[in-house]
Amino acid sequence: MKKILTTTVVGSHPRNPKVVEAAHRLKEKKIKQADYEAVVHEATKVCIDDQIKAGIDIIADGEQGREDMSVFFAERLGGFEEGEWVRIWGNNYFRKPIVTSRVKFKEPMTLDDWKFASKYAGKRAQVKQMFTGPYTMADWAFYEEHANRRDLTLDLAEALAKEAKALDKAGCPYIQIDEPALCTHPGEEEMMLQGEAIEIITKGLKAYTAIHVCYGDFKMLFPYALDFKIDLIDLEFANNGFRTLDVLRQYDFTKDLGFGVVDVHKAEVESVAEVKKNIIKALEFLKPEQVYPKPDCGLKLLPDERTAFLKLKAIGDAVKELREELA
Amino acid sequence: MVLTASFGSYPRPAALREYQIKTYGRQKKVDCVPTDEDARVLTEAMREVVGDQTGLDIITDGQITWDDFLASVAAGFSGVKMKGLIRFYDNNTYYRRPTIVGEVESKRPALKENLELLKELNPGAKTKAVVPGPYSLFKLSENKFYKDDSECIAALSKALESEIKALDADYIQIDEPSLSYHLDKDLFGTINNELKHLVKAARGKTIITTYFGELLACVEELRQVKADYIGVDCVSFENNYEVLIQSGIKNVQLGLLDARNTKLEDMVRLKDRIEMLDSDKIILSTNCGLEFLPRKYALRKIEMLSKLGKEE
Repeated sequence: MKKILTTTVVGSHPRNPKVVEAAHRLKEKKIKQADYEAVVHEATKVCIDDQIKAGIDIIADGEQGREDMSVFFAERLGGFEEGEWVRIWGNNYFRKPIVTSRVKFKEPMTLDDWKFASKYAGKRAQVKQMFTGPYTMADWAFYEEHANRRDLTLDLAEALAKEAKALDKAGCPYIQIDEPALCTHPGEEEMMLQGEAIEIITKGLKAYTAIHVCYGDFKMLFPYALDFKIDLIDLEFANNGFRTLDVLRQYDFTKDLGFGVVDVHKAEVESVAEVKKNIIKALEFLKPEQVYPKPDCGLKLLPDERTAFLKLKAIGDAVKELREELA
Repeated sequence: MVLTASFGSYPRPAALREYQIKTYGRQKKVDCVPTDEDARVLTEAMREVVGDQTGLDIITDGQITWDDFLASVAAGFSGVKMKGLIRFYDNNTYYRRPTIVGEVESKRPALKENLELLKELNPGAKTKAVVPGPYSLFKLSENKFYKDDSECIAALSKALESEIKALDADYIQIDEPSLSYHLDKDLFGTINNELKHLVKAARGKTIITTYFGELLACVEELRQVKADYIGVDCVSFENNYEVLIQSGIKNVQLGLLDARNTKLEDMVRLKDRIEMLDSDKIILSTNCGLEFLPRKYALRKIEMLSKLGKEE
């Protein structure tokens, strides 16, 4: 029988200051790649132990080695060139990558991290792996070679399908496609494009598959997302006052739901009672087997590891109590 | 006659970008009083922005101090508080959302200072000042004060009118991306009425621009808008150009070059498009502000625009 209220995370943890420093030193060529990786591994262990201690069933490596969710992959796929500064908000800029030739998969980008995390977690927890999806990679890049964004998105989907296959072949039980840009461009055509891209990636996989979407008006996802070839749709709820539930209620929601029950933009930790109350909101119209409680988004925006741990523990404790009550 | 114009925004030169980060952190507070050092850095940055626009007939101040994209001007209005970050149209860029909590009024015109600086450094081009249109500013904001949308749009328009009156530029561009992006047709009467006031208040020639959206969704309304030029984004939607041709609108600021992608356009295709419009009242430009590109690539678009203007 399928477990009820499986707890999980979106993926990232606050980046360990030692990793930030090591990344800096690596760039300045003051340390070697192997030294940097050793620091990342130590930080990953902390993330893993924290998640398990908090009561999370399907954990992640904490993305300690990823400086940026778009640049990390752009640096490792063929076809991209390092971009230059573009402003995102206030005084915040990012080096927006430029695609200058056809996108090409070179070698697995997240497999080693997953293998390390999986080995370290052992039998204590299942480890998922996440990668930034084709829609977002295309939307957050300039392109010189491709005719349009659609062309680029589908090319990226083909490349990222190889990443998914490598993870699947190695035994990764849960593969998540991160698509924070999905709600950027409204319209049926856009959602159909995303559906097409997902199908390219998930086709033939044994692993359980998920899509994580954040930032934006989730209304535009539906009903299209219900036809995506994916097992779970992972969304934010806590930071929009659970308004998205009203959208989901309008449909026969047959997929599993990654249900954001704590807000990652607030450092204040939710109480167990509050998280329980939040989880119950989804149980009003979904089966407990369908609901995967988790934080709204990656935890990297939180001020520190401790806050991240406490937020996760609130979820773990709330689910523990609910499982007993529902049994 | 074909003129070439900088659209509005421009990437901040590196020295300004780095100075802002170092001095004000990730987000500059709304009520910071400018220091002498701020003014010095800004002047140098403006000099670079002006230099980059050499070759264009109409230049702007690059909106290089606009921290919240088009919503920036609202930070100086009374009755408005800048709240949490939200997405700026369909871009991966975010701005603090103006929340209207009281009577909106322009405390003092804020946009004219950079225009004055631009004019001081201007080597002889025509100048253009950009202001958000009342409908777009309304759509970018959250109204918690006015009892209905029309009243809110009218109040914002009045505050914008004070800004416009203070701007002594050759061209005044009123940005209305929301007209094409998400027009509430029931409000169009109010919007058009307010735009008429603003056009009348402007000292220079006026350009009312749409961008980011589908022209088809607002073309009928746009034909009713009275300004010296109507701005059309011919990039964001494939069929916008065809819709423009069919609309009969001839006095156009033609957004032919993509300011949201680095790829350079095919000159022959661009020339065909200019000729097909068959108009003697065209301003050539990018589809939106160049701030979405890194400076090196923004400059390439300007150079292409300038070349296009010379060859037409």
